[in-house]
Amino acid sequence: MNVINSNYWKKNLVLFALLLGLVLYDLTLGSFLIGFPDIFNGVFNYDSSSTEELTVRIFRFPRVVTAILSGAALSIAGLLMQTLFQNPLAGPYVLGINSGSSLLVAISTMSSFYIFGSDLGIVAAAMIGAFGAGLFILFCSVYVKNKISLLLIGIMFGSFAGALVSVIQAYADPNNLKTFMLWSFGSLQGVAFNQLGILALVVAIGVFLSVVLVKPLNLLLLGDKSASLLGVNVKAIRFLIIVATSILTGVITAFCGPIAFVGLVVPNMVKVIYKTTNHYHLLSGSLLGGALLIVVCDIAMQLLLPYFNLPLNALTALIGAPVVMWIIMKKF
Amino acid sequence: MDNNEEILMLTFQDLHIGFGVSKGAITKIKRKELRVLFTSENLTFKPGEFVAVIGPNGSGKTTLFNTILGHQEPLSGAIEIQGKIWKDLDKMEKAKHLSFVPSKFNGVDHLTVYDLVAMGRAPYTNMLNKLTEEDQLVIQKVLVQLGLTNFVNKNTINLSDGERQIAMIGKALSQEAEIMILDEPTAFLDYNNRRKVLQLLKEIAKVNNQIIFISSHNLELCFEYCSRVVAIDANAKQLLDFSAPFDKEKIINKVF
Repeated sequence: MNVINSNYWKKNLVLFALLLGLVLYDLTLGSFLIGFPDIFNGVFNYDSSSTEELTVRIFRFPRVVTAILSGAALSIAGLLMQTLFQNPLAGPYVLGINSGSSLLVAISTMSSFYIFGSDLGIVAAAMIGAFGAGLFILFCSVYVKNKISLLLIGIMFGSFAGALVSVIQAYADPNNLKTFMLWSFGSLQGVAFNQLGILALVVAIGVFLSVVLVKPLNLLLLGDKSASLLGVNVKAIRFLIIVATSILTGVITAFCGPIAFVGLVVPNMVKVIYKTTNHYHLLSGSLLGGALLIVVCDIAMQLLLPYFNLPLNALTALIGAPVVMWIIMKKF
Repeated sequence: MDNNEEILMLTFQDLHIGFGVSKGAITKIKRKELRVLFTSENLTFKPGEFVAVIGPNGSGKTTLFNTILGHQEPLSGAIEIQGKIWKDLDKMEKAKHLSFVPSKFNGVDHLTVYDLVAMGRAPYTNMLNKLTEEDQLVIQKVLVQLGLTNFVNKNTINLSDGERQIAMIGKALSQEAEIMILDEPTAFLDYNNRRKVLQLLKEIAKVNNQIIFISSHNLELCFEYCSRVVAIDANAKQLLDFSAPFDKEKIINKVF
């Protein structure tokens, strides 16, 4: 058993080293190249008179940190959903959390309820939407026996919210419509330097909760009845899994918009690469793998800046899908 | 398992098994019609017994198991284990006394046989599911007892049905629970594996001092390997108790 364990730590180390290297590289990229001394100063010895340091502090550093946090959070949320529903096609959005966010953002940007017009207002609207959707699903999870029913409720709620968004879009002013569309493309630039702390804290809470759930997650693999007979309180664990997913998905959707693809694909890839069902290793793998994927997408985005300005959501699938297909074909 | 002084006893006390029990005050469900499937007088089961539950389809075998497992409540009467009322025990406690093997397991990808058997240690491990020395010793002992040492690192998806069934029994054994329940364990096995599994269970009941319940439609094998047969007479709605040696004709005529 010990030999197998060290195999996982080696893989973690490789992923971490890769991540570190790419993060440092990503920090230099942007509309103009910035060297490492300026990056270091921009974060730690801030001098607002230097353009480079200003750029690092306001744009680069938040962008890269947001990339890491969003990739990690969404992948872990995806892993939780895949284990809860025992379905490799489940992702963090399967419970309809981001549909709630979407709906409230649509209302705040495109309808006459113009209370939250500003940037911070959009974040607030998305948070409230995610929170509301989360509460609704939690409420349902207490009263619904079958978790497949819960999955269906989440999907129906998502469809309903999506339909309402379409209605709002049909009557919206073209400028407002564009604002909403840009939000729905996903962006890593939406977080200010002083907001990074809050984002990191909330993601950390979600990750911590997931770590606490490792043992019950492992036992859920054999089904609810077997898990229950091994001492797992299935209803309570289901509740906590949904809380963790809501926290992770909600906060990322609030600050970055809905980022597609990551939460669905990274946990599956981690399972293929790590070849284990132990969530202790799957969590660390998803964390590193998710962060890696988004950072790679951000690098691609920056490198393509002079030619195209591609939305994040497009890039995640454009880069991710071929990688996934390559891994699958290599395995089979 | 280390109580040498007390003998563990599982008792059925004036049990009425069925379904349609109305729920408590939380949800206001209309009182459903109570349907009794069978009743039982006071019965006691001791460690070392290998008991088969037989009866026609629909007589209540699965309901009985569900009641013992705690998924349902008896309509009246109680199941007691070592004097304590069964349904009052908390989940962790129950897991240390009772283990269950379903009739079919399709395997989980990347779950090795070792991992599967190790899952049975869950009621004893800490929050991070760390396996202590003692846990690993128990797992090793189970693997040796069941002859699984050559399959230890095999993916459960790649096993044959017989090997998977034995691996599942391994998981139940590593729980070190005094009572083991198997729901139609031989239903999906071929002729050789059926005899192999039942022989294994018979030995386990004696060697590990456990009470093993199986339900089965394979009457010949039950009569051959089990020490006790509990039969549900669907007409009289009664639970009949027979010990070895069995008068096969009489039992079959009464029950079927």
